[in-house]
Amino acid sequence: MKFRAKVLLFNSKTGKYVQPGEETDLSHLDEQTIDMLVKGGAIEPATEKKEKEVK
Amino acid sequence: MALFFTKCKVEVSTNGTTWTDVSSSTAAVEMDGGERDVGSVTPFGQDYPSVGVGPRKEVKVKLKVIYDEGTSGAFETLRAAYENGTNVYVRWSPLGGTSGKFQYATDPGYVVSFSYPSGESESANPILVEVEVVTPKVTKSVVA
Repeated sequence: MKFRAKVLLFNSKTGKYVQPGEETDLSHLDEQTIDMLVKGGAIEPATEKKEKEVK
Repeated sequence: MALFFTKCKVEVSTNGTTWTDVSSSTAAVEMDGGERDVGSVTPFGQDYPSVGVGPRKEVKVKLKVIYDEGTSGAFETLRAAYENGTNVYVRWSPLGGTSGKFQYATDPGYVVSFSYPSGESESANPILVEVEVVTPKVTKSVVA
């Protein structure tokens, strides 16, 4: 599943940085870790912002 | 809640792509430098200075490396970078580098100080080598 970075992320699978606003695949992370990153304000689901932009 | 440095993950690289985990052969990460220049002037008739902000200075990352004689460990990697004047990168994650933890990474830097192994006959302490890397800046990210 793809997520949009809200802060500078380091994708441990690709070994590359993801700038805020960019999308990245975090399918290597489990649900609990994803949830922690979302609640911590580091990422958001990539589709969520698109819906807001449409409105 | 207080956080501790005991689980710090330290990695070094010579190209910024391939990293070697040197946590088990590193005993300390220390920081110095990075001050931001600030200038000031107090004009006539003003009771306080006008302050301007300038650029940051270079950052110094000091590592205490546990001496070993492996061919690809921290000691050899940093020694070669020092002697050849080639780039070295350092990154560390104070809380272990797992997902959600902060990671700090240097831009390409140079080893400016490298203490070859030394010691005393009556010392029980492991041999430590102090290495200083100078780099333009350090970048913080969140591991995902």
